[in-house]
Amino acid sequence: MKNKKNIFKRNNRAERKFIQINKPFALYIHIPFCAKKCPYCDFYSVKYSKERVDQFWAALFRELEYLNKFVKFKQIRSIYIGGGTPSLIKTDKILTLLNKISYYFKIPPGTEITLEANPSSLSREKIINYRRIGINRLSVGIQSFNESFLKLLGRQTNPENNKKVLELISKYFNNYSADLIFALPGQKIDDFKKDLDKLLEFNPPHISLYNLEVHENTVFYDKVKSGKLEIINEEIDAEMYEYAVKTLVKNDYQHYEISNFAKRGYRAQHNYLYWKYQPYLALGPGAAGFDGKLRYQNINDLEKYINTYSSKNNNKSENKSLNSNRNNISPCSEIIKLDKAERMAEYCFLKLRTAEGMSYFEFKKRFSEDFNKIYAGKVAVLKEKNLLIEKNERIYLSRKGNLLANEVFLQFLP
Amino acid sequence: MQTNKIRNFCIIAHIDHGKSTLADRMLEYTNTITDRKMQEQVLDKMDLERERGITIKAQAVTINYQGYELNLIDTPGHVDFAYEVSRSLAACEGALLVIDAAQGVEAQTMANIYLALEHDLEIIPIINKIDLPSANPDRVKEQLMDIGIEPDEAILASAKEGTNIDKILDAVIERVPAPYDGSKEALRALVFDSFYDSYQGVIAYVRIMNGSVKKNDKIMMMSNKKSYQVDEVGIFVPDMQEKAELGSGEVGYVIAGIKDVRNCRVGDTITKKDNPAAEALPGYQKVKPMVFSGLYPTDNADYEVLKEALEKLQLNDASFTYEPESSEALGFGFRCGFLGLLHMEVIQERLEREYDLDLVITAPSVEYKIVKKNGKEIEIENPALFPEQSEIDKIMEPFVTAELHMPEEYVGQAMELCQENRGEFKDMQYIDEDRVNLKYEMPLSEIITEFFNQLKSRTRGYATLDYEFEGYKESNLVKLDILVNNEVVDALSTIVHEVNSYQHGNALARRLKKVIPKHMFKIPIQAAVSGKIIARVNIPALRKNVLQKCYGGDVSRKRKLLEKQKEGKKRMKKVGSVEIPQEAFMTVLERGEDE
Ligand SMILES: Nc1nc2c(ncn2[C@@H]2O[C@H](COP(=O)(O)OP(=O)(O)OP(=O)(O)O)[C@@H](O)[C@H]2O)c(=O)[nH]1
Ligand code: SF4
Ligand SMILES: [Mg+2]
Repeated sequence: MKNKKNIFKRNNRAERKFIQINKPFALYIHIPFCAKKCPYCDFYSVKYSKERVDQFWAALFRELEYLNKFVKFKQIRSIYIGGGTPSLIKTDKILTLLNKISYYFKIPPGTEITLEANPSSLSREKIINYRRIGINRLSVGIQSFNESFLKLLGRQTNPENNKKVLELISKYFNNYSADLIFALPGQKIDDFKKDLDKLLEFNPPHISLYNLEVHENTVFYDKVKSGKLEIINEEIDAEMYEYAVKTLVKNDYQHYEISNFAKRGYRAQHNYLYWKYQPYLALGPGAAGFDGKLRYQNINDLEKYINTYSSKNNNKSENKSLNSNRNNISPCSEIIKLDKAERMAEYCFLKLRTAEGMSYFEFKKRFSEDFNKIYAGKVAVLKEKNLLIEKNERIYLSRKGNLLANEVFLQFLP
Repeated sequence: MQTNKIRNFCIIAHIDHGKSTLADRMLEYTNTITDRKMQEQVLDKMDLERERGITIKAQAVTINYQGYELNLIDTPGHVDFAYEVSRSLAACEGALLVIDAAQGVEAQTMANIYLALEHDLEIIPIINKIDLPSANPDRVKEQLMDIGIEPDEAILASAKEGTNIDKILDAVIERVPAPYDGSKEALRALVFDSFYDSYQGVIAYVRIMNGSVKKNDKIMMMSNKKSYQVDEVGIFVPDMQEKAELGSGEVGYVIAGIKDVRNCRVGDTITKKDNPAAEALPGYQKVKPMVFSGLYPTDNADYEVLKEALEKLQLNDASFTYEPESSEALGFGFRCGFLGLLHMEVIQERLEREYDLDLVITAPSVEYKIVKKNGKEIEIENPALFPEQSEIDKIMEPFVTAELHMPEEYVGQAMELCQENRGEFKDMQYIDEDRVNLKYEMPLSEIITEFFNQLKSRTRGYATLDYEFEGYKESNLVKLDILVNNEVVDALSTIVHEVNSYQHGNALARRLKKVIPKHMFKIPIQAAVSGKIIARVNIPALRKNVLQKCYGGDVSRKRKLLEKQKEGKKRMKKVGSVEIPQEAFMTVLERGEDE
């Protein structure tokens, strides 16, 4: 009756297994600093302080050194520096990080290297410097062009600054992405149309759209609970989403993933690797990495993270210390060894997020299982409900399925 | 032990007046229990009792004090478990009647006094909680006077602070009569409770009325002549402690390898095979369940598990009944009978906890008697099985006499509530200057909905309620059906009074709208009486359910979230194409203030 337990907490030593990366991989680095916490955000981050950043940087390098041991095939497919607010960090520091990465791993020319930026911490100089040090893609959290919604979201920017920043970025980067948030409390469909139209004036090569999700452990969550904030009605949320899809497609964007839109040739390669269920290495507190079978989650705690990778825990003779001394310190809050059924489920729901959907052939190649043998019944029901479309030995979400994707994904769980 | 050195008594009171706490103090004072083992309400052994702070099962314990053997039985105060009290009384010669000094005489105080008098017991009134600032012992004494109990005999006490525990113990020795000395006679032991242990079989709680019993004796149950060999006898201190013999007048337990509880019924008399008594003890009237509801496993595959669980639970609680039934909506399950709502909750909770079952529970119902046009009379506890209105000549439902006690200022509210629930006023009496006893005749079906909660809320917790079965009376009742997505869901049917049917139907449809989650299609919910739709609401279609953000760091979390959604769905019952959550089946019984 109960779920089989395949999650083992990482505190019993020796017999533990860890990742093994045997092919080119994506690399994610979590920079856990923000100028100020936004009330809706549940990413792990702490208040920026120079001193903490320096300690963190040292720890980051040691984590890289540590993880390197588990990487057999030392070639990178993409790098994403996310957070948090990486744009708070000095450019030369970022450069040292990139250098360090290239010391361990091969970064072929043309590899996508994205940095997540916040309009409040960007300047012309910084943007130019990013280019100079090898960042070739920026992802900027615009969120809105409306003064009062920016306030509501606690963003340290204003509509004018957002526009200015977009202008600058588009001047120095031909590949960049802008985020918008919609379905905000009190937002009217017209408010959102204005936001989207404004963004389109800049013609960004890539756009990510998220509806506001209210997560536990956020200020918004408490406000909603206590009735001080009212979540927008699902109808309006759906209407905005559908409007956006329609408008963006009309403007030559490919709707290539549930929340992502790109001009031809500008899809986010890094994120695409996630949806393709490819391996990724992840660094920093709160980051999660995956080798194809096993996923680790670093603890959401900068203090512990720094301690784990502090020099006294990690001098030469003690390379093992990270493995064996984990009784009191552990960089991972959990390591999940995924069984085959779980992997198949994740594979399906990630692939189905993309416009290409899931190919039976690829499924078979990956799992040596006949997709239809396992899921034909479910697929038939979902097709019947107009949530899935089947074509050329592939399935993908219908328009309705895009809006009700969870109802589809559920069906693939073991 | 010589019988003149034995005293058997129980502690009775209205709920929460401090019986179990008083028992604690007596155990402590007499060193029956070591400090180390002491905890509050130590006799409330079940987890559920400890969590809820109430006694559910009567508990016996033997105290040695000044050369006397005092056998104490702590009883539950809640009306649902009144049968536990009457059983215990049959094993005693005296009773400590505990009355809260601040609350005074309440509904179950009266009920318990009547029971004690019926059993001809010596009553020792204890006015408890005198430590409370709001305690008013003089007023309680006046109340006692009014109900014919000698107020001068009352002992003032505080179970919390241990005040006058010695006086109470002394009073037990002085005032409670010693049990009859039947040591020379053939064994007659009254089984006043029993407990099933998977290793030892039935553990019978007994009071020895005549004769004695010891290990290796060949005993015989007088009801069915089945015989067994005694493995062990002993007393409760409060854990079981083996003894060489239980003699006339004593209270303790007998274990005799009885594997089937049905062969050792509570109320039966144990005698010896070789020297049987001529006549069995009077025993008990079998308790009859008053409240019925359907229990269904959420997962049909758990049917057998549920069946086994019910069997096992019944071993320890013969007062609830179960019979297989099936529902179009819910599949195979059981119609269970309970003594009251609390009893129902307790059983449900035990099933879910001790047997790890997910259950769907239908709203409680009473047992109706229906006379059909063809003259046939049938009894029905499941509203879904009601015959067509056109076949019915008349319907009768159980009525109770409800006694409500409350301060005068709340009489208005209480009367109003009774009236709203089809109560018929019978009597009103002042217990003292400002406390009133109201008597109403009411349909039991009204009492088992939200009546009690509403009574509490409208009288700010001051009113107390006791009720007793009165008899069946004809009522103008109709079956209210609920259609979900145009299909009648049999498990949601209820019986309501015709006058209220529209109101109930409307409110129920609206409540269901709140608990049934949106689906990918619009779901109409309708209420109908005799095929006629009387109310309708719609649950709009689900428009959007998608996790928009899903990157490398989110995958695990998202999968867990999806798993939770899936788990949630599993806990629902699929009726046609609609998934109905468990609580929907219980909302039937709620009566919002808006009605
Ligand atoms: N102030 C005060 N509180 C008391 C006293 N005796 C009991 N209580 C409290 O009253 C509450 C009920 O006590 P119990 O001993 O569980 O009452 P009970 O009569 O056994 O209750 P049921 O078994 O459920 O009928 C508890 O919170 C006790 O702590 C007393 O003498 N003084
Ligand atoms: S939304 Fe971005 S800037 Fe705001 S707290 Fe979260 S990570 Fe920091
Ligand atoms: Mg008690």
